[in-house]
Amino acid sequence: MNNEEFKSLVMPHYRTMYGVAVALLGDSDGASDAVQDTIVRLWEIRQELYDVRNIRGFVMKVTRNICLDAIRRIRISADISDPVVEASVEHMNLNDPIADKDSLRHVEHLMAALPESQRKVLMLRAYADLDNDEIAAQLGITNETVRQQLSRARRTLRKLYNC
Amino acid sequence: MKPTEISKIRKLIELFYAGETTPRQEAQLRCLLESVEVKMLPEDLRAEKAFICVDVKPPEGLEERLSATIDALAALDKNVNSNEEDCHSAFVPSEHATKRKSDIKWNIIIRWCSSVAAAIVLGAVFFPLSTVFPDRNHDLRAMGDTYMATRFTPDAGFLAQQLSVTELPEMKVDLTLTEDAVTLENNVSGQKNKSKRRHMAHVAKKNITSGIGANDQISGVEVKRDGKIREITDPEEAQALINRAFSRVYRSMSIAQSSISGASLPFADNGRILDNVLQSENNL
Repeated sequence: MNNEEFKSLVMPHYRTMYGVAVALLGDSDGASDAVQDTIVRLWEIRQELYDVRNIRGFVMKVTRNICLDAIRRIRISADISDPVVEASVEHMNLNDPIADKDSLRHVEHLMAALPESQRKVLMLRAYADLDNDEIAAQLGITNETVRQQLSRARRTLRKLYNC
Repeated sequence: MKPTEISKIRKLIELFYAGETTPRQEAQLRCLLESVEVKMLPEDLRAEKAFICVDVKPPEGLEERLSATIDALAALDKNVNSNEEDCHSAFVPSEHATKRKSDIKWNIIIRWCSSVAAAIVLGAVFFPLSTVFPDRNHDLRAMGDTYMATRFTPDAGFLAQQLSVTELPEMKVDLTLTEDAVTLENNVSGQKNKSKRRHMAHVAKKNITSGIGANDQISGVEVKRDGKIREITDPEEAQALINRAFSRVYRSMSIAQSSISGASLPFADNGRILDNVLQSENNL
């Protein structure tokens, strides 16, 4: 498989990869790096992609594994459950004057303020365009839980957006 | 805008916040909202449009970055494969290489044989057979070798003089000699017999200097020969034994002294001790 064939097979799903990555990592830069790592990983096993029926699902699975590895590395280098870190996220300044209210950056800024479970569900939908079943499979939760988290996240985000 | 479209939008928005829309329905909702100008929308839907139609997308440049990554990976693989081919061709044995392989094999054998021959020659030069199989029954030659060795090797000289110094006090106090002096002629090899010779000579000299007649004393000593004890009764035999033993002990000590003179300064104290001993011997 040459690079053009590989691109035609994988690149249509790069938004999905990014969505999964940003949902799991909660960080745009880290998500971009994770997607790049996913591309490298997929390139290494590109000959096996001919046998994969559901490329989108396979790509999401690889991305998820890459992100989980990244999370493990982060936890080793710095304990992310550090209360100081959590407090800094919870008390993030939502009225950052630099943030443009109409911009994507503002929405991402608001997303970061959501509870982690809601943020993951919302990002998987917003960035990766996953349906509820796929989100449930990715996060290991039920379909109903996905629906509830998605609903709460959107309502919360809507309120924050109007502020 | 048609009322049906407005109602459809409202319905979709309701499902949207309930978390019951599919991605396709959400895309449809965005499409409907974007197709309508803001001023045409009802007041409550204007804010919804601003929120729902936010284009949530990956960072700009990510797609190009990923595409460049793929191209780089492909180029890297191409280089690696070409290098592997080069390496493979380099290790494929050609006819010429096979021929050279046999030549190299013979070269190795010839070199090995040459090395063995050189080792034998060098061994013969530096380790003569006499050192490997020494003739221990030839006393005079052994003494000569010892003398030469001590002359030219200070360490060996030091050991020789040290041995003499340590043995002399024992010779002075040990007066219970029962060895037959004649056996010195038959067993004169090794350091043990040298010690015996010195021991016998010293005993004889001690007896002489103590005022006792040498002939009488020697004749009164029981000596062992061939496992049996006998007395030396012939005064001439006893005198000959004394002279022989005396000359041997003197020569042994001279060797030690000469070796000391060739030794380095750290052995100076030992040399001084030996000089004192020789001087006392001469006084006797």
